[in-house]
Amino acid sequence: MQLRQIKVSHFRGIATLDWTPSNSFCCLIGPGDSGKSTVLDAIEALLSSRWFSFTESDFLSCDTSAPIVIEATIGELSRTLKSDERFGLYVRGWTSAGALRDEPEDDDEPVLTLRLTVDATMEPVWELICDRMDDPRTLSNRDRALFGLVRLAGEDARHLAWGQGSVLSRLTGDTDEAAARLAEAYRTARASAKLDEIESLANAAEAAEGFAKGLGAYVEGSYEPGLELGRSGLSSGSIALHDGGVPLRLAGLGSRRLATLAIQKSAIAEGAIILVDEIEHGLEPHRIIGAIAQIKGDQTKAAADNRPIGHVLMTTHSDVALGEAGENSLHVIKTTRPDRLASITTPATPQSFRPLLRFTPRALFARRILVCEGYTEVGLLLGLREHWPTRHGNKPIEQFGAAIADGNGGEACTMALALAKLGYLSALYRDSDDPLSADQQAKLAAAGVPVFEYGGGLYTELAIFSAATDARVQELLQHAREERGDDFIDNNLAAKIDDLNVESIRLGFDSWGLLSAKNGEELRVAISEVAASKGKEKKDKKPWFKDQRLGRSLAPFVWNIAADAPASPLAVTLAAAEAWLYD
Amino acid sequence: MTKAPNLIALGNAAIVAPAGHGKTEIIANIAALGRRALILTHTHAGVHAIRSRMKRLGVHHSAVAVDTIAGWCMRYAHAFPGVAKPPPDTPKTGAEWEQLYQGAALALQVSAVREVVVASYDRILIDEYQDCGGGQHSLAIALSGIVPTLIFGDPMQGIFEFAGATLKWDSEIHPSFPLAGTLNTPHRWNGKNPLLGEWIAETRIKLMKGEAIDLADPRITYRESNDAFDMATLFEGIDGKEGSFAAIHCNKRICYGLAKAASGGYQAIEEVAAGRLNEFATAWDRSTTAERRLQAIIGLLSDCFQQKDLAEGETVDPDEAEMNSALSEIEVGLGVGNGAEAAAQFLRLFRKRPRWKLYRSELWRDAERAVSELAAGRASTMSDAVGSIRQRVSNSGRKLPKRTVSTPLLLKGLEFDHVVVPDASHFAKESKAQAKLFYVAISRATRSLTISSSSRWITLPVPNF
Repeated sequence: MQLRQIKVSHFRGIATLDWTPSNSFCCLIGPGDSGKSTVLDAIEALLSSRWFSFTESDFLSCDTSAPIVIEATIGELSRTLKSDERFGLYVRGWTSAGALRDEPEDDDEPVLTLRLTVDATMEPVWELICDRMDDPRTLSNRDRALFGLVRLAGEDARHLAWGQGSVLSRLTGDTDEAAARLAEAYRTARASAKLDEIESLANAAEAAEGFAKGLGAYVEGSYEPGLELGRSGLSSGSIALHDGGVPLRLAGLGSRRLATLAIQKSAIAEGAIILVDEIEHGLEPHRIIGAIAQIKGDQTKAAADNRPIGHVLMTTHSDVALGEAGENSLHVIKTTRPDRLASITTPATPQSFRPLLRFTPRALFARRILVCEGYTEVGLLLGLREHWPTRHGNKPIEQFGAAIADGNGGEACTMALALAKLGYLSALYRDSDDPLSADQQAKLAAAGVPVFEYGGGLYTELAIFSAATDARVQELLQHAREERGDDFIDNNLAAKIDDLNVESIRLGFDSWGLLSAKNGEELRVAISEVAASKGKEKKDKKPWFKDQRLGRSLAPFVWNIAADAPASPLAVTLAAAEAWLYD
Repeated sequence: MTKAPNLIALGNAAIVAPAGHGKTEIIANIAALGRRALILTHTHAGVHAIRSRMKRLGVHHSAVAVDTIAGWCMRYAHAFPGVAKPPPDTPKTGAEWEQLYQGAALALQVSAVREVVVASYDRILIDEYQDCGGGQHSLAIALSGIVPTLIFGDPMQGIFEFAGATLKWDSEIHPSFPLAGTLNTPHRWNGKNPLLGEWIAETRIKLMKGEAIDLADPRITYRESNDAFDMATLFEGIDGKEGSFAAIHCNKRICYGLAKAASGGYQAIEEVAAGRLNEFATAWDRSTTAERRLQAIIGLLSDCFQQKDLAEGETVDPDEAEMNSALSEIEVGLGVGNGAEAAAQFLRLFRKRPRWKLYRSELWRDAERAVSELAAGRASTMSDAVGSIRQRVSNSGRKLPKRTVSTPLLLKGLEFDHVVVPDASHFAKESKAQAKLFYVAISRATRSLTISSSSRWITLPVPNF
């Protein structure tokens, strides 16, 4: 089963949402309170076989005068759903262009539309919508169970025991024997129940272990059914999965969640719809990657085998998860204020996000993203970022939802544009030695993306050195020598400046003017060109500050240089970027 | 070849099933093999017969869906009305039915609808294929392009030629449904009268070739007579016989005549369309006075009852006189209100008149029920009442009298222990399907068959297949 279209209105923090997911693996991201969990909750309320009790607070602004309406159109229908014994005659058509038609035509995919309505009576009504039928068909919880929904939220230990309606009992098939054995166990003063001797329970436990391992849950010993005493009364719910004698309920959060997900997912043969809240919860980065890779791999394999693929919707705040999920699964949710119109957007050109996901995926969790051209710029701003709070009531930029991202050089412009299209506030911080084309400028202007650059053909190194006093230049050279070694720096400079040898260079920058025909300005240009490795073949390039750490180490010097020369292009540009980040 | 597992391996195929050769059994067996089969037939009676057979064989109800072709098409065509464009209500004319079938076939061209069919059934079986018209045939072809479809039929029982069921087996049916074989075990006569079964099977072959049939065969009873109303044919020897009886004649007026002449010893049964009952309802609904209403009842009366003449020297029975006065009193009530209360009493009482013999009891009973519906206020007109009564009959199937006289069309698909065919020479005078009608008539018999004719030899034209 796959979600083709979801409409939500008047539910919790969402006034309206109309979303047509285009990918079978969706990673929903967005700033806090943007409606991620509400979307998953809405889908669960609509498709889960559980009964939901609604209260006033489930209505937008607690206003019960307008009903909650949640509607979803489901494709990739199972055979059971499509049978005319069930809902075959209610199918609607989903066109290849992604539009809904009440009656299918041509090669439309058969889909079903479900609607959940809750009005002031708080009585939820689930219906199948089909305009050409006179009356909508009410759906029972049994009917809804056919849509194969799995939700992994918070800490849910329900699925780790053989309770009524649990996934484990479905995997087991018949639990009569277990019930009889339980009664017996109760009579023998809760002596050893020897549940592991019941073949069906043992088999289900073994299957569960396999699924859980597949997703990366840690298994200490092996999974087996065991009795959890201490509850009131004895029922099938008292049999719980144990791992090496310890109830799985007590295993690490991550393993427990992965086991729960694996077990639920395995119980649905035909393409489950899987909702996962914050997949990273309780998992180390490598296990996040493992779990996502497994879920995606399952989908790829199902597609290759021509089996139903199902649908995965997950939310995350983890850049590891986002990086592994990949640019094609990227879905950004946004809810406007105060009218609370929610929208979910996907990149028109996902490939523009590949470098972002590789270098700074965390930026996507911000509202406002400053895309920097290269390592030096990213490093420099990250360093300066530590100085800014003193000027802004001790608040870091993160409190304003701002982030600094690496634009990977030439891709920075496209990335900033793509972010703007996704609904982020984005800006570009770049050198001016390689000017933007007229076309790029026009696009950036149209998208409202500010560009912070020094102007006058200045690149970062040149902007810094040009603004620096002699003493500051000397400080910077000294810093470079400490980082790169005296010989490397001095030989570089001597090779560049004809009338200065290594000894003269080591005398200090304030003496250079006396020994060289070049004036101060020319000497600064020369140093900058060497520092940036300008005019060198690629293989010979050895720029001084081109990595994030080195860039970042420049920050204290640059901070002082800018303070000394507040009117310099360097200071003006940095101030503009700072102002934008704090806006 | 004609065992269920073999047939299921065939894909689309046709199985010829002569009367009484275990066709329903095979259909049930095939249906039981798959996940869920769709069985389509033509009449509600057919649906009932198949359902009860499934139940008897222990086939789980979820493993099989049984419907009439018309009912199935109504369901699908109205579920996808945009492409199927069915007539708005239940079709009334042949053209409207055709529109429905063609519409359902059109809906099956839509890929989503095909997916629904694939998800719903893994096998489709269509019964009584010889009764299919062109529209139904296009539907069957459309279905067979989606799910393997087996058709069952008997060209020799194709007696609906007059109604447009004129598909040619070789040139129209077999190209889509290649002939898989002919059922050849006459189950119907096992343990009853195998020799009779043998004679019917032999006769079937001869009829197909247009050969002469010898009626003076020891396996059946032949009476030389040129009079359809020769009561001896109908009654001779019945005293010693147990079981059900049917007299079969192609002409329905003669059937009514026979029922009347037999003084109700054989009961005439009604057509599905119930023309005479509707005629009564229309006459009643048009009448507003007691007199006119009485006329409507009297009209029906004369078509349902035969009055025995007084034997010589016999005087009017005192009971009869009393009954007459009671009826006269009731007649007054026909003018009160809608008159239905009085009519109900009238009809009920009339049954008890000793010298009046009822010979169309189904018609009279339905009239009684309709009148009661009207009297109870469950219908606003007699026509409505008649409609709902007949609908009930059609849904629940009818119970036949012990001795029935009717036409091959109405008795097709039924079986009787003893069958009488009065004046067999009349088959040659039918305008269509003479040999098929004769085959349907004789193959109803399971224990004994009596045929009267002016000549021991009968020859009928080669039938159309």
